[in-house]
Amino acid sequence: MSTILTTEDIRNLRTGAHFLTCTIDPTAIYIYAEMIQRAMEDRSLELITVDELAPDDLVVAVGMVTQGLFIADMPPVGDEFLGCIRAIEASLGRSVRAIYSLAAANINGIVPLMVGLQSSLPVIDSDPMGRVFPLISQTTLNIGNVAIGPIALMGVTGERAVVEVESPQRAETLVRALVTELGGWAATAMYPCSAQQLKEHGVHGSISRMIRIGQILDASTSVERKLLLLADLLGATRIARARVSHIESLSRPSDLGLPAQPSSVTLEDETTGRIVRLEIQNEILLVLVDGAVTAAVPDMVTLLNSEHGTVVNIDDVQVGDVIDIMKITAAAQWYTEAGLDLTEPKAFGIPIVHPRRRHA
Amino acid sequence: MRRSKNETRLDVAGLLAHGSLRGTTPLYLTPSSGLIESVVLVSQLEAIRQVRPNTVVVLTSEMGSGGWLVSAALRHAWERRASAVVVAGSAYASAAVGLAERLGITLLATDGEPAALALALAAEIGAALSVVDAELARVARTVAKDTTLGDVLKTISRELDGSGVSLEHDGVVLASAGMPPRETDEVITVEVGEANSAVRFTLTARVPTSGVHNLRLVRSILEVATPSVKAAWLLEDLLSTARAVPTAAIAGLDQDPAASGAEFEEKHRHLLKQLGWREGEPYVAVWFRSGQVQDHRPELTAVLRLLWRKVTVRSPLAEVQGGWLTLVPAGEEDASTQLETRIRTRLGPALAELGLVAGLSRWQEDVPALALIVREARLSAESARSTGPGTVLGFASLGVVAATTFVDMAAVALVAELSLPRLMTSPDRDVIITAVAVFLDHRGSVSLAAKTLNLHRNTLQARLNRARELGVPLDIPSELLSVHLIAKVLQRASSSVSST
Repeated sequence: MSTILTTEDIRNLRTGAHFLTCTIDPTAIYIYAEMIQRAMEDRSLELITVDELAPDDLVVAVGMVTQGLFIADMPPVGDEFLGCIRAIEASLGRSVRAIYSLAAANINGIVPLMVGLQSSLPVIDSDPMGRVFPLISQTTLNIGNVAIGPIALMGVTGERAVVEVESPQRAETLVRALVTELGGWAATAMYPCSAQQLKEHGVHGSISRMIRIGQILDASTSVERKLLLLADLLGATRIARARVSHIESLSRPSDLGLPAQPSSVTLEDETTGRIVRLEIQNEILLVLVDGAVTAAVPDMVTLLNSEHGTVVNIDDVQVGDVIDIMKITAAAQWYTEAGLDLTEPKAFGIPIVHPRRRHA
Repeated sequence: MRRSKNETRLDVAGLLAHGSLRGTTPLYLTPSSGLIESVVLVSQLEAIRQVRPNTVVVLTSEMGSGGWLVSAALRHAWERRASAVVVAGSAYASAAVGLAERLGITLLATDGEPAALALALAAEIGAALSVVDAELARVARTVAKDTTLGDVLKTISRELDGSGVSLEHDGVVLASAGMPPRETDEVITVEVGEANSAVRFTLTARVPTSGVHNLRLVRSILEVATPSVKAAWLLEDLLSTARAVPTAAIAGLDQDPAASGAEFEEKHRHLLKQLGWREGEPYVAVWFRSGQVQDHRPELTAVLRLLWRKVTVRSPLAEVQGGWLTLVPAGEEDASTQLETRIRTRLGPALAELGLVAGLSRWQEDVPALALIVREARLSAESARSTGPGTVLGFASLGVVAATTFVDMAAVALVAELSLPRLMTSPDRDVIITAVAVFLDHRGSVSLAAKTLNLHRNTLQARLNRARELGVPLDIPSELLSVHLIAKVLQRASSSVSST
């Protein structure tokens, strides 16, 4: 059933997109949310479910791929995504019927709405991650053997590339190289597939879930009530409420090919004395409680201000802050063998086996 | 100079002070220094899940030193009760110090190559182990020089700084050396296998818990000493068997129970002299046997010989048909009494444990023939069976009463059933039997018997009349012995019923 989104929905979506990543810099989310809200003054935005499309309708994922540059530092001109969609259509000789988000959080959770407004294409309430991952190969479509290419990229200078590639890992390398050359970020359209393929291999309800999260977090209720509602909606659990005791430098190098700003935060649970450690590369990959793995990617970990229940940016964390550390289970596909192969800590250069695999 | 048992122990504090860990920076040290028994160089976090307790876990430099890694390594190491975790560099480990403290595990940082440190530590552990090996070889050589069991045990005890060392069978201490056992001792036991596996022996050391002994080393010392223990013991047993031949001969030669002492001496005078027995020398014979009727366990000979040494070492113990025999010189009556007391106090509990009894002959001034005192001791031992395992019975306190212990109680009871049916079915049977027995015990004196039973004379008289009514022939003198015997047997039977 299609839904016409309201500006209120966009505000909530913004909060939800932020909550699910606990990103280092949410500025871009806010910029996009504002642009979308302005654009909605004279246009309507339609959110549809994948079931509303004909099975062989062509759909495509849209999203930003960045390589070391914050989008806010060099804002898009505005036609980049439309250029990408046109390039895909030209390459495949078919019209795109609808678009979907490359990821279900952070900037890529919200960008497709802007693209939808610009292109008048409906936005599908589905995505291929169910969260956000740093690599374009880390998708449930990849697990389902849906081709990633052709991939269209367009940078801020108007330069455009279409990469015809089969292997998702190879696509990763090529796209990263192109993005660097295009200026640090690029608008992309990839995983062109049939509505049927998306239905079979995607994660569904992504956008509406972010809106619901925003409704919960932005409501003027107590933090405890918000946590209860989140637990209900997402199966989210609080790992600890702890005070930040130590932050390690952001300068530690990471493996080549991984977009990362690795850092760690050490916290102390003041009631129990437990020592909590967060390992961060773009997002929180690993939570150790007293050295034991308590949450590890693909689990989602996000931080909430213990006093207000608002999302805490990793960048803003300071020694002395008291934070609720939340764990949210990712989409079921990620806990299969193939899913863990793509996204468990080892995929991020952390030689730890995901606890679920160990117990399997 | 002899090395102390704790020199072979490596610990974190020691190696930090003057060992291979000297170059490391302690980020956190546990209050008590952890023991070090091995070292592992790990390049995979998961490998820590397999380390043995008291291991130093060294993380390779390839593994990195990220804080999360140190945290996870500390956690795994703590779960495995490792002695310490060594990481390369200290820049990123600082945040893990709190966790090390919380988990109580030593965290060290090295600026050098972790692999080199692990190698140095492994060499040090190897050297310590070779010291242990050299130590064990020395102990083995030392105990091998001892020829008696006592000396072997003393040497082992000395090697363990005077700790109590004992050879035990079934909880019975057969021989021991060193400090007496205390409640708080740490008990280390090794099996002393024997060719005859029916009997199991253990060599046990009791070391103070507060002591500095490495318990594994103590066990190893016991193990290397075991062959010497066995050898010394077998040698002693062999010598005892040889020395016991003259004693065994007496039991063997005395095959004619009808022969008097004088006849026995006359018949075997020459042989006895050849065996070393001197005429006119006073002895007390001691006979050990099983508490069960038909249950002789020759495998206990070696055990009993060791126990017998607690009483005297001079008189050898011979294994004879139906038991064990020894002849102890006893110049005067006191010596005989002392012997009985010693056997009772020093062997009583052990005999009870092993299910054995002991009987002793009387001391007599006129020096009876050896065969006679052996017969006395055997009779006493057989009589002692009725009182249960652990009983030590002298013939002097037995005398003619011994005769009753050979009465077939079942047969006497049957006689009573058949010849005194009315008494046997009477509801007041036990009271009547007691009255009759005590009356006859006092040679037919009603007043003395009544006094013993704490009854009025008339009451007892009434019970005796009741006995006559029930058919007990109290007035026929020639039948009184039988009546007395029956009364005694029935009395014993009823008391054994009521006591079970």
